[in-house]
Amino acid sequence: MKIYEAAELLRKNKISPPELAKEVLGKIAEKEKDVKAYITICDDILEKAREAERNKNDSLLWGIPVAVKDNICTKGLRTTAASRMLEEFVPPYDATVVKRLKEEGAIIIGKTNMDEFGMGSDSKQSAFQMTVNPVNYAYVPGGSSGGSGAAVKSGMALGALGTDTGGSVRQPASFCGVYALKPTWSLVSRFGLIAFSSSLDCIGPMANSVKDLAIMTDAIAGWDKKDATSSKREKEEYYKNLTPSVKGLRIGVPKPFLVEADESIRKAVIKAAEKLKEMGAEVSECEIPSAKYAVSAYYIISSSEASGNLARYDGVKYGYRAKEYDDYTDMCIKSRSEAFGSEVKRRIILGTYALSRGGELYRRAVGARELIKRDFEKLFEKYDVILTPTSPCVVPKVNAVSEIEKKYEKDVCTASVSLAGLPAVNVPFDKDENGMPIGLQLVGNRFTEQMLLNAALSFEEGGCGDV
Amino acid sequence: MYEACIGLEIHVELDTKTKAFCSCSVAFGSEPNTNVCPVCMGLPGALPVLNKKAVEYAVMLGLAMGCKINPRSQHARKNYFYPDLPKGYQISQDAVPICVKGFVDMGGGIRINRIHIEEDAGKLVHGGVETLIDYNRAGVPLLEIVTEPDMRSAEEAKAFLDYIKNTLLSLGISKCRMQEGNLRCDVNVSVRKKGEDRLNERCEIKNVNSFSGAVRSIEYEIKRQTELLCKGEAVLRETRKWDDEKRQSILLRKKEEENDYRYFPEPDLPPVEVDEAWLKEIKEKMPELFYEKALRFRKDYGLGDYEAKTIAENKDAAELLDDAVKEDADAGLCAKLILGDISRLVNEKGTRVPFSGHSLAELSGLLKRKEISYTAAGKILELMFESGEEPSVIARENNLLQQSDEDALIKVVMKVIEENEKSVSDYKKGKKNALGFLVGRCMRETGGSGNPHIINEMLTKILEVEE
Repeated sequence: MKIYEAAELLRKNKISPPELAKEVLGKIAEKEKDVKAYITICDDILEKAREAERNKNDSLLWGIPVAVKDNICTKGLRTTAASRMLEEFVPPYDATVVKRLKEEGAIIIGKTNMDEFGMGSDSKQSAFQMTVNPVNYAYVPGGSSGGSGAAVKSGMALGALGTDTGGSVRQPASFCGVYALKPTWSLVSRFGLIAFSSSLDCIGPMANSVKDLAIMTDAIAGWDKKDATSSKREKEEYYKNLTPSVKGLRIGVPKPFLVEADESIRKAVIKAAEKLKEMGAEVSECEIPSAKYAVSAYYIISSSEASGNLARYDGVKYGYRAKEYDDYTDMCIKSRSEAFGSEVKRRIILGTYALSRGGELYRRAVGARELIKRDFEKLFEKYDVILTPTSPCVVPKVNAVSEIEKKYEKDVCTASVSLAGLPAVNVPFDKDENGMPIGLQLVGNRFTEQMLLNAALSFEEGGCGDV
Repeated sequence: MYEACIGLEIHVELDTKTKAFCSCSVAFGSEPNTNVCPVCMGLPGALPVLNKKAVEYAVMLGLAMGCKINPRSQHARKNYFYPDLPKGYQISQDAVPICVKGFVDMGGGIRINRIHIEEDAGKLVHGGVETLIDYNRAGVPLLEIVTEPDMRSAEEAKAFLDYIKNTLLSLGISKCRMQEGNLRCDVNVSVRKKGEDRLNERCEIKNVNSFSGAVRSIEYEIKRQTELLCKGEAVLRETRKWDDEKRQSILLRKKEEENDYRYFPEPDLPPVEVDEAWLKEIKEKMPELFYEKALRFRKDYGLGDYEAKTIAENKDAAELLDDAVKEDADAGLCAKLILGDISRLVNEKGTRVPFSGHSLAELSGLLKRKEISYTAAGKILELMFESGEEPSVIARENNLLQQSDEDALIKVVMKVIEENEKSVSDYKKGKKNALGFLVGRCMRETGGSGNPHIINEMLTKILEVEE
């Protein structure tokens, strides 16, 4: 069920919040044992639904069951970032986005699985469990917000919050066949988001329709005094101003992102371009010369920031502490060695190295980031929207093994957008040879979320999203 | 034949109400870990928000030290592990500090390299087998002042430290309490042959906890390095720790063991923008500096160099003087009282001046009109420190007013003239100092309360007429 549909039923008293919650709990009883989307499922969902029933409001999120990725802090509810390090961490505060969802009357179902601290693209880097793709359990759900994507796709939540540092809401949305928005960096407050790479981290909604994305974005976006980097620009009303439109839009399709893509993905993008032309858009090929630096720059910058952001987990104040140790240094080393997974350690080592001895590597990556930003700026002089595959590769199987560098390379389409801080949506568009979803990425200039949502809605209403 | 090149790094704890990046109190001496919150404890997801007051104070100090104020400065993370550092990094400034390139006109001129804003760490409390951590101090705003190696002796360094302290006190931006760690400094010393331009390798001396400690450590270090050079040995770049009890420094770490702090721009904080309008507002708010005060005291009050400087350097004293002069008191008389009996009493009693400029004006008025003697003024001040009573009341109640009424004094004067014929005739013969003897007699007759000046005038008048 979609959020806007459920909201309509709730408003007309055709269903009550507890009844809706029961429906979702039924789906969880049916599917969660296989999908394993949740690290924590709340034990008071029905009580919260009854409480919502007593406190009716006008919000379209009133009484709507939603899931929250487990790296977003929830007051009194365990928040682990899928790491042994925070296995027992219960935050004394709500993230601003969670606070805002609660104020709207949404009901938090639980905390979804992910790659540890958001570092990964298949949700296999979780310290606790492996989530599978609800479309076909033999495939990965993508990551790092794989639990959120799987929960939404399987109806175990009507909508979910994910987080995106280099593609982590867009790619799992693409793999699971759901919609997702990665907002402009600074549009949504990061307060309460367990930091991976602060200059890239974004919280974004994942849902089964574009309208649902708009409803959730309306709730979570906007300035927050607790996040000094959050934008002070006036709040928009995405849902209210939502209207399917691509007519007259100038759309660029960057060649570099197609050349390296899998055959079925390339075909899907070409098909989408044709579809857009049919709907009245102008479509042409374009170049992003700096795209070749995107993956390296992304991994160096995000790992550098992560090496700092994860330094607070030293076993002193909270989180995991090794059982036996000699002194502070020993405790710190043992706690971190025992509680961090291998991918997290890899990134900390990479980031520490990149920042060492004057930080030459880090500085070169920042230089590349500037080039990428400039390339996009130039593109937006000529285009309104950039169309790319969300992932250049088809959804891999759960048991597929791939080399680290190959795995990192697959982030090219999404990571470049993250480095430039731009907004992007994932639109489910087609199926690959295995019957798994293929997603399109629509990228806009800073703060053009409304235009992107409108364009995505054209696809959805054109019947493209039903994969 | 050798000369020292001394540079200082001074850390100043600012006297703001709240911490640098959260709204916790900076109060000293609270119960351990009571002035803390998720931000200053470095909890996952918590974000820093810069205290505007700290920026204002930094700009004030920058202006006072003749610095250029960067319109856009940037915070940076200084990464290292230590149990008192909650986040595993200190938020500081690196490449673009808020104030740069200042100059202080002392000795041969002391250049200020930079002043930047950073946060303090917590405090380790060692007790028995355990070490506990108090995070109350974590996040307290600090300014770090870095000078060029422009001081040539320990005395010059001491004078500069005094200058900084006086500047901070007159700006009212730090309490400057050494015992509470409000002012801490690291010393950099190198020694070279006189006449050489190039700087030799320097040693940094940490743990200098007082100004006198700074002087001793510099003297020690100059001697140590000079001896090495005389023996033909090289001074190696190293960090040393000062032990003020043993009066010696010990090797802490060699150059190759120095921390690599892996600085990078703090992504959680936007650049600090100080635009023209804000700069103007801060300039207008800036209190008069001690050297500006000294100049005014000389020019407007006609005080001598020493008087002006000494009073200007003491905020209480300067305020007292200004307040008294506002009530038309004689500035010179007030200055004399402040530097004399008032300073003595402040030192003896260990308190601040317990009365206002109004009272001082009244006291100086009594003196000026010769209603009391200097000796009586001292006695009155002593009683003012005890009771806080107004000077005229004290003078009256304690019979300290001088007898100036000629009608009352005439009897005494006539009596003394009659009883001291010899002195009278001596005077008339031209022995002018006989007059002093007669005045003394009159004073004895009045029990000390006669106004010697009036008596003198009366005697002269009578004796001249009798001739």
